[in-house]
Amino acid sequence: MHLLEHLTRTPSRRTILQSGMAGAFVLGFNLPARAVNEPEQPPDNTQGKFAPNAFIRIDGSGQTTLVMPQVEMGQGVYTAIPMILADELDADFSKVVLQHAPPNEKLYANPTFGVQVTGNSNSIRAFWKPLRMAGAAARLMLVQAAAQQWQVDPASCSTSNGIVSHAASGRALAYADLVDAASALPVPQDPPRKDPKNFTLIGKPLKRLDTPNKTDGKVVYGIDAMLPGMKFATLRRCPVFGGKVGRVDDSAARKVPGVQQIVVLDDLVAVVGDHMSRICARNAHMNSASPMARIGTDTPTSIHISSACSTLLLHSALSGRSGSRSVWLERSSWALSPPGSHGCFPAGCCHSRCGLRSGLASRCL
Amino acid sequence: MNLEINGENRTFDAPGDMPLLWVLRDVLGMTGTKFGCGIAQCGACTVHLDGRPVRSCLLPVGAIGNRAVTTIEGVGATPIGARVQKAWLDLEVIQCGYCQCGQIMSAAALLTTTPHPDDSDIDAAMAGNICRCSTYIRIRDAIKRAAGDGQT
Repeated sequence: MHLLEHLTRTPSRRTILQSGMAGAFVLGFNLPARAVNEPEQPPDNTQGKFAPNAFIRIDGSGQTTLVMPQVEMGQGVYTAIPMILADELDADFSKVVLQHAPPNEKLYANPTFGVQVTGNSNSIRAFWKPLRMAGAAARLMLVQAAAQQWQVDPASCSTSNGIVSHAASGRALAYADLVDAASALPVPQDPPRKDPKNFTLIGKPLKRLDTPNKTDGKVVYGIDAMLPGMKFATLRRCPVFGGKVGRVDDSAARKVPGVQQIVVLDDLVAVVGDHMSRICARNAHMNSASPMARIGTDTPTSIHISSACSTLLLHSALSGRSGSRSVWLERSSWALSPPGSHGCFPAGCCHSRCGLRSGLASRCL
Repeated sequence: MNLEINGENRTFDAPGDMPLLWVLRDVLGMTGTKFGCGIAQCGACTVHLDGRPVRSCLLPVGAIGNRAVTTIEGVGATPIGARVQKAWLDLEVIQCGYCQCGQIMSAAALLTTTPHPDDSDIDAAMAGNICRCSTYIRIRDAIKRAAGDGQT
């Protein structure tokens, strides 16, 4: 049985995968940097925050967190999206914090595709209006909250760098001080957007927000997620497209210290061990040509391996639902970063993390 | 086993034939050094041994001895490393970033031995570091900038 068939013919585990993976993805890397070995993304807890939509979170300390619906793959979308949001919001751009969107197509679907996916060079085209609306709605609510407190006409207030001002009376309130009041207001459905001549960020040559942590090794890519005690696996498929495993001689591999298990599926061989070096050592070509899976804190068994392997199918989500085929198509583009995924199996469910451009993948399994 | 890594003495348990890359990443949790090809052909895993660039994916940890290891997490503590990192940001070299830690390590090693490299010096020193985003032109400019030779 092929891996994908194996997965799709096991409804109980599909259910487990779907339910267990929600909220557990680490998409590509994290900003701001977190300590290695702490891959869990903070939950999107909006309690006590001004969170008028899916993209903006302002807490009482003034921290403005912008939730990124698209994945940064190097093209600068983690700068462009915050620019749009922060411009309409009149946030202090130097202090915004970025956070990955969790897999949630209701909130974060790409408007062009109708699913949560990054690609086709359309992030800005697709999200231009929704992001401007989100920023403008939030700004209007903050202005209304300040105006109510001051008993003045909202139109007489202005905003800049995270502060609402009333020039006539010389009063000002930081967004942080308006969190509760603004949260109590209805969200405007068609807020006025800025006249482009009033843009403060859009159209300006700004420094990228994702690059500082890429110069010092702090960025956590999907392949960098680490959990205590986890095992590692490398996978190898038949070099012939669509081929199946014929015969596997694993006698030499089993003698390598640290190799714990060899798993053979119809179209896949996985070597599981304590460290990558143990499982790469057998075959440099295998290492160079194969994606990796990393197994969580549980004792590895074949079912765990196939579950972890299945997370590799997530990489293929964009290129088609055929899954098991397009894993390899992804690799054929020779991105330097090897496909890698991470599965953890606490209490019978699967938490998966990997570099991924599509929350759609959570549905594929 | 003991190694001096980024100026600190680190003690860990690993077999001598384990490549340094996996000691750094899997044993010590220092994931700034990247796994790209595993066969010393891409440069993503570049670190310094006594200031010289090496590919950690094929370097057995037992062969290092008392030579000092510097990784991307520590190279910024050196004046040259810090200049390279700043130049990388000033010129917005980086796109996806996966190869760039290795690029920065190779560039810092080049500037240590060749403070004012010309194009051929740069091409020769950086030939082993590949970038799928093709940031090569900006890398060359940033090395010149870090050397104080770039256009301002």
